[in-house]
Amino acid sequence: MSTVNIEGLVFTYLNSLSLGIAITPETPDNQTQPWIKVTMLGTRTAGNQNADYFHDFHVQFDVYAGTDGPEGQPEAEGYYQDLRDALTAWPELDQGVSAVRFTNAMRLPDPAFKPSRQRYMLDTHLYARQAVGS
Amino acid sequence: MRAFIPNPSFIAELEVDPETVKVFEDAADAVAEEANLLRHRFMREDGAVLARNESSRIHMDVYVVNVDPGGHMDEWGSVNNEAYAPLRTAVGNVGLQFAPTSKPA
Repeated sequence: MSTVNIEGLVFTYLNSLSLGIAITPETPDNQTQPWIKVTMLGTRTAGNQNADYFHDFHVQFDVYAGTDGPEGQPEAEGYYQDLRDALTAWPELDQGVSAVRFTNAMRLPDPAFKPSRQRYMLDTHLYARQAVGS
Repeated sequence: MRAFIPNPSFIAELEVDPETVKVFEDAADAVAEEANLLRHRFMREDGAVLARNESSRIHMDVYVVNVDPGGHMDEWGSVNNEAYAPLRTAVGNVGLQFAPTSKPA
């Protein structure tokens, strides 16, 4: 039995919603459009420690605006809210993710851009199970 | 049977109890040691993550802090850096639970 490919689940799910923003595991070459970067920071077995089919995934989402400076904030904030709504609704869809817990969220402008690019960071724990029979 | 009467000073007494403070100091040391193994070396060779006990005679304050000037990028990432999340990850790795809360007033 393989473990859950949580990033694959995230990409499939968010892309199916047509949020109008790129969902990517890496910083895109084209940084003139907004994007959401998905990073899995860690995973632990959830529940029974002997069962390797139910996992607690620590996933960070970075929502970047497509323009530098404070004028990008409404755009980034809008996509951040869309992302948060989408993740909140996910467990009800029975796609393998049983629960979503938001452990932190903040507006964290990225100073690597001049002026700083607006970014919303969403720190989450996604509880996902392996599909039966896989 | 006598009624249980909660000690209204229970938390305050715990905060100044040396044995209790030692438990938190040991936990902070363990988290700092683990975080130093996990973090990316941006600027400092070692010891960027420190355990600090700033407890007073009336209040316990035990911290784990990252004093690396690039520590925020190490923890949260940037457009040029991956998020290594040493502090958030280290807490769980030493068997503790990371429970984010807002900064106390």
